[in-house]
Amino acid sequence: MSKKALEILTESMFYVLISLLSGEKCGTEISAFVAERTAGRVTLGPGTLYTILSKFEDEKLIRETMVEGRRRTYAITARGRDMYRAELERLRACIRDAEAAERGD
Amino acid sequence: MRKKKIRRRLPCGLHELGALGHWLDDCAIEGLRLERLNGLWAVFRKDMPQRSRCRFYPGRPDETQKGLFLEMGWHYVTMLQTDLAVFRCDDPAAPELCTDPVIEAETYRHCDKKFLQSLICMIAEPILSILLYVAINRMFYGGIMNGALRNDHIRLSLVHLFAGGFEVVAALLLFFAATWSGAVCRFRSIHALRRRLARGEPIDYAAPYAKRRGLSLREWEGLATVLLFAVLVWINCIDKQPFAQAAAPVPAPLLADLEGREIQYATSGSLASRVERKTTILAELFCEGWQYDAELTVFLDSIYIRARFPQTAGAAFGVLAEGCASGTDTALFGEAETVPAADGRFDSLTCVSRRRGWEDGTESERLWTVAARRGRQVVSVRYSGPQPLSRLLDELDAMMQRFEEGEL
Repeated sequence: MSKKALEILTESMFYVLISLLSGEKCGTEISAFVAERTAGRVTLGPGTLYTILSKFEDEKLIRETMVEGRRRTYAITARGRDMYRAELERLRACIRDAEAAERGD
Repeated sequence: MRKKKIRRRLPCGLHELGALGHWLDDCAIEGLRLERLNGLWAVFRKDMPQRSRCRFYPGRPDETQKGLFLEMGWHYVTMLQTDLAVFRCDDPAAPELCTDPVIEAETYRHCDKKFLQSLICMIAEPILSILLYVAINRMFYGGIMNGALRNDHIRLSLVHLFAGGFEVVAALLLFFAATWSGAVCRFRSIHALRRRLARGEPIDYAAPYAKRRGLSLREWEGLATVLLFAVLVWINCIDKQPFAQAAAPVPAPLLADLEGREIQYATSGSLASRVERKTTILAELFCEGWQYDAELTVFLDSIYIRARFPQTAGAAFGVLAEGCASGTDTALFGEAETVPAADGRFDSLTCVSRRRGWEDGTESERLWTVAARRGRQVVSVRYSGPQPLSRLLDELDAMMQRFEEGEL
């Protein structure tokens, strides 16, 4: 995945970071968290989740903390938190701009 | 009791993933459980009919990936060639394998690159082979023409393909057309898929498939490969046989005819008398014969070429005529003498004479080297024996006439 792609995260990628903010999780726990938090609006298939986790690990946004057989647990890194905050700010700016446009500012 | 295996031909191109997935899902409803998949067919085993989903993911999965996918309801089934892993899910409530098309587009980046590299290699390899063929002929066989006519000794399997005749060239063209088309289609398929996914369009696993009529591109590729190798085995062989067993006519002047005698060469106790024939890309027939009669101490070493084109015959004559004048025994026996010979029976003629042996201070043997061309036929002969040049030329004329009239 090119570096440019990681400057703007997709919705699936953003929710993976959100899920790891509250603590270490394995893949299935991440998927369950996202489904529950979004009331099923966002679902993470195993292919999508695996790709995101691999890329985040390569970009050092997350790190592997435990391996139990084939199950791996991940935690967010400082860089991951920074990426999360940057994306959050970008989304907030989008919302502000949208609301201003609605008011006719 | 072993469950019966069922083989079915694929209804769509290998990388039409949506249609292929749809077909596999329908097969599962019929009670066919996928076991293996290759470019031509799928192998199933009979099982209970059930709804399941088959999806694809690029790359060979490691244990971590298989474990994660299994936890979320997706079982690894098999590989689709070396590029795509096939996963199956029997739980209708489980999420799709890939739920984000943009992320999925990135997973196909490696496939895209790999197919492009494969396509470039497939186009570059034949071109490089041709260049290599030309270079080797120039280096080791006295030039391209000589090598192209005589290159049965080239061991490089791909380059040796060009030693065959038009049948090999036709089989080669069909092979390259089929394999290049296949490679271009696969690359375009995956590339288009990646672009659609990057735009946010997921793969349509409800895409229709139809029962295929005729051969698929993959089947054409397989057929072209089999045909090519069959033609190579058939045509790229050299027929070697002793004169006594050779089917008449032997495409070389016979010592027996030259000497006006009847001799069975294979039984005369002489050294091997044989003829080798083959076809090359430039010659319909390239024949080398070596004859030796120990009783009379004569020998006749000859090359007969029937070229495919008059231009080739001209070039072949030039090469052989050059060879007439060269020799390694000039230090001992002196330079060869080119004998002026104008003979209206031949389009081109070169005659060279050199001493070959000495006995009691006098010349005991003379070696004639003659190259002659008529139409598409070229003959080069080395003769050492008691017959004069005129007798040798008569014999060459008679032989060429017989072959022009269709005896060979």
